[in-house]
Amino acid sequence: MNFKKAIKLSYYLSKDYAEKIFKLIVAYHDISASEAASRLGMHIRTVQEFLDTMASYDIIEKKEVYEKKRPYFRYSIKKKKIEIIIDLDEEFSKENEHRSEFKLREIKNSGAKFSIARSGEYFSTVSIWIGEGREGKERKINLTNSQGQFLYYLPFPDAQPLTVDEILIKGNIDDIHKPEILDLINELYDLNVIDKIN
Amino acid sequence: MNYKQKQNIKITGLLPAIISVIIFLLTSIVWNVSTGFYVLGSIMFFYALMIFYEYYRTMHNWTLLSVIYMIFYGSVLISIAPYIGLHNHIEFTVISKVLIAITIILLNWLLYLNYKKKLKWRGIEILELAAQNVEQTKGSHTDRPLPTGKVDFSKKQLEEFSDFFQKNLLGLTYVEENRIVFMPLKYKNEYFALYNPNYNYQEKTWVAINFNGNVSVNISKADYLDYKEDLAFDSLCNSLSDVIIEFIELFIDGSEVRIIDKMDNLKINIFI
Repeated sequence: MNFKKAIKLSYYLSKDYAEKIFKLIVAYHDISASEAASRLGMHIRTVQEFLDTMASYDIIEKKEVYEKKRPYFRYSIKKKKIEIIIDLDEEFSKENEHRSEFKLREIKNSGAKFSIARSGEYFSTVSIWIGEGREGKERKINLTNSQGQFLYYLPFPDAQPLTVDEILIKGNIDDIHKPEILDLINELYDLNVIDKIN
Repeated sequence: MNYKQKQNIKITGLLPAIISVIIFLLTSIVWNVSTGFYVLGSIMFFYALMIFYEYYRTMHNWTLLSVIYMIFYGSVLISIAPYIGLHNHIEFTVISKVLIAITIILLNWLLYLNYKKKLKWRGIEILELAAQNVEQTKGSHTDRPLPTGKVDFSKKQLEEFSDFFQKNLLGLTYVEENRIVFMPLKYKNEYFALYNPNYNYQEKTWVAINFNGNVSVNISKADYLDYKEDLAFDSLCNSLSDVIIEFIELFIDGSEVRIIDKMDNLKINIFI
């Protein structure tokens, strides 16, 4: 299940009537939206929408039936265990792969202030001044060790740009930290500190 | 010679003298000239103490001569203080005369040493050497250090060079847990570096070498702006790193004199 689908399912499951509808649908062999709505004293459209959503997640089975040639739907329980499983690795690793196919270096006159960590081999924070004059605000980002190390090896504005992987090698940074580094790159790109060159 | 750095003569070096004269004049006006001399003599002792701290920090031998000079100078002022203003002329005792003679000898010795650049902080020479052959480019300065590579010096070699670096007034060094930071110090910046307890050397110009051999360079904005042109910052950092590494190699080879010669050959004014 991807993140968006999980959010939608969670949204419906968190409704105060969700438990009542499930209780009903487990007890009944099958039930129509109007029967459930009248039984629970709810509006038919609310029940219909909930049941259709659950059907789209394959939790409830939706069957079309005819009564005097007039079609309508009956719902029955299909899965008695509801699980929300999000594979974060699958979700984001592919995205990260696509996001790292560029070269990087610091933007000229970025104005960012890098604070060196006590050990001196990486940065602990990066501060960027956003806005001008009295309206200006300091945006301070606390860096993880690997992010700090990555920025330490980021090419200067007048230096040859390097890919993320090249900087990781130069800084002797483990590949497992790549996603968090890419996250920082995006943030610093938005803040006009880093230049991406394709 | 066409220098890459601005050759501005700063008055920072004269600040202690200016402050002393102001205090002397004020105390002489408020009380009398005799008190002024006592106060001025005490100030010289205080300066002697401060310069001794510089000696303690750097182990630069000639600095000890400055300490001795200050003590003698202070002694001269205090020895003649009681005899000033009594009969509108100064009476010199035998002790005063001896002290004055020694002070004059020490002063001339110090002037000669200054002329021979033995008392000069050499940061400007190091930064000048680093700038040679670096091209111009616009807006390339950034306020962060650059890792410039790896070297193969032992911890002991770095520590010994650190002593040499300070002893010859190339700058100050800071021994950290896993690295040594070499900070070239320009003439007249030493007061802030030595006596300001809140001095943040991390923001200044330095070359740091950790005990695994990783080299990093930082050039402060103030030092960068002291160059006449906008030099390519990446190249400048790499060049500064090369200068220090070359100095260490010369030091290890026992060619310390060549390090000093390289800086002397630039013929930079002693007051810069």
